[in-house]
Amino acid sequence: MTEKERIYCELLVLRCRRGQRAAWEELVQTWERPLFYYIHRLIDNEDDARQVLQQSWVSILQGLGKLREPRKLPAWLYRIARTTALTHLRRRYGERALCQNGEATTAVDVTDGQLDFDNAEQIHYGLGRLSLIHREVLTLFFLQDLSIEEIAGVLEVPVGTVKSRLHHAKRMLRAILEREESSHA
Amino acid sequence: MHKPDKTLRERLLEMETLNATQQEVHRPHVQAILDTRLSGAKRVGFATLALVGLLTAICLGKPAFDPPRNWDEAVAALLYRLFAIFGFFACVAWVILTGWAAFSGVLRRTHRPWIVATTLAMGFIYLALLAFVFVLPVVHEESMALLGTQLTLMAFFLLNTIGLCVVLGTVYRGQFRSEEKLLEIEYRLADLAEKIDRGSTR
Repeated sequence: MTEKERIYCELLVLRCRRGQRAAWEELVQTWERPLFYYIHRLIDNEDDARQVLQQSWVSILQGLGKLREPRKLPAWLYRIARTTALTHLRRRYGERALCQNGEATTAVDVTDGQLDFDNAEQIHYGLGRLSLIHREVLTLFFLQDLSIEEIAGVLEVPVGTVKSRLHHAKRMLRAILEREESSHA
Repeated sequence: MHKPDKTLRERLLEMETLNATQQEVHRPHVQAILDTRLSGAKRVGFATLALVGLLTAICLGKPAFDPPRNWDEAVAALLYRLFAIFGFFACVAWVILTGWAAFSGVLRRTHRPWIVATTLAMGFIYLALLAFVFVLPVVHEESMALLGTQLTLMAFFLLNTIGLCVVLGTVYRGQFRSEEKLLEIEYRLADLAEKIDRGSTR
């Protein structure tokens, strides 16, 4: 995220705090799609994802006045979306489901083949086949709104863990996409 | 095939196939988050407040527009009439705001400061009315000047409170506005720097 975009975020937060309806609508319009994309990667059901997004907006509106660093708005928004999504998942499936989803990564055959990470269609398809923790970190990475440090903040893990997860997630994504390509060939 | 001028982020976001019907259903909900939806009990509460306000407005309407002519002291009569006029309009505003909230079941974010302001004014009006009800019969026999002094004191405190709210509101808005202006300048500078940077790299 550029400095210009960070200033824009701060300006938007300030206007929202002043109670400007147009600013709130702009905030929703700007962040609705990326937040929904992220939440939908965490929650498969579209209707549930929409409801989680709606709950996230409520939390965002309630917490916007207390946001200490408005320039870090994107990280804060993703953190709220994540917390809301995980609460929803815990309520629905319990902790065990989350852990099982995380452990499923070991089953994927990892290769070191080179693959172009510029094909959105392939990435979108591949993300759906990754485990939750890898899907999550890679989604945040590909959405390009946050730095590695900010992703670490959102996921509440050290920067090193994010880097490691990203490395593994990319390798797994490559493996999935290569396997898919070879099956079509 | 993808358009090369779009970033990976944009192309990824476009991959998300949104169910148009669901989006239509959820969008008004998100917009409505700004407004507080009132429960049945709260709506009844607001309706009661509107009714109380209406009754008070009726009570104050008569002395406001048809002042008593048998008062000996002109100043006290004038103060009483001014109070009644102010009270009447404050009550009307209060009735409109609370009545609308009760009727629509929604407390609009933009209405909240006005509701607070009219509530404050109504508080003073009821305080003054209490003084009229309990103090007037006592002082009426002795001196109307004492009543005038009491009303003046109340008006003084009311005006002080209104003044304080206005000053605080102005300071608050001014602070926001200057902060907004600074950020706008900062944004333009960052935009300019970005353009210069882009120009130099070509």
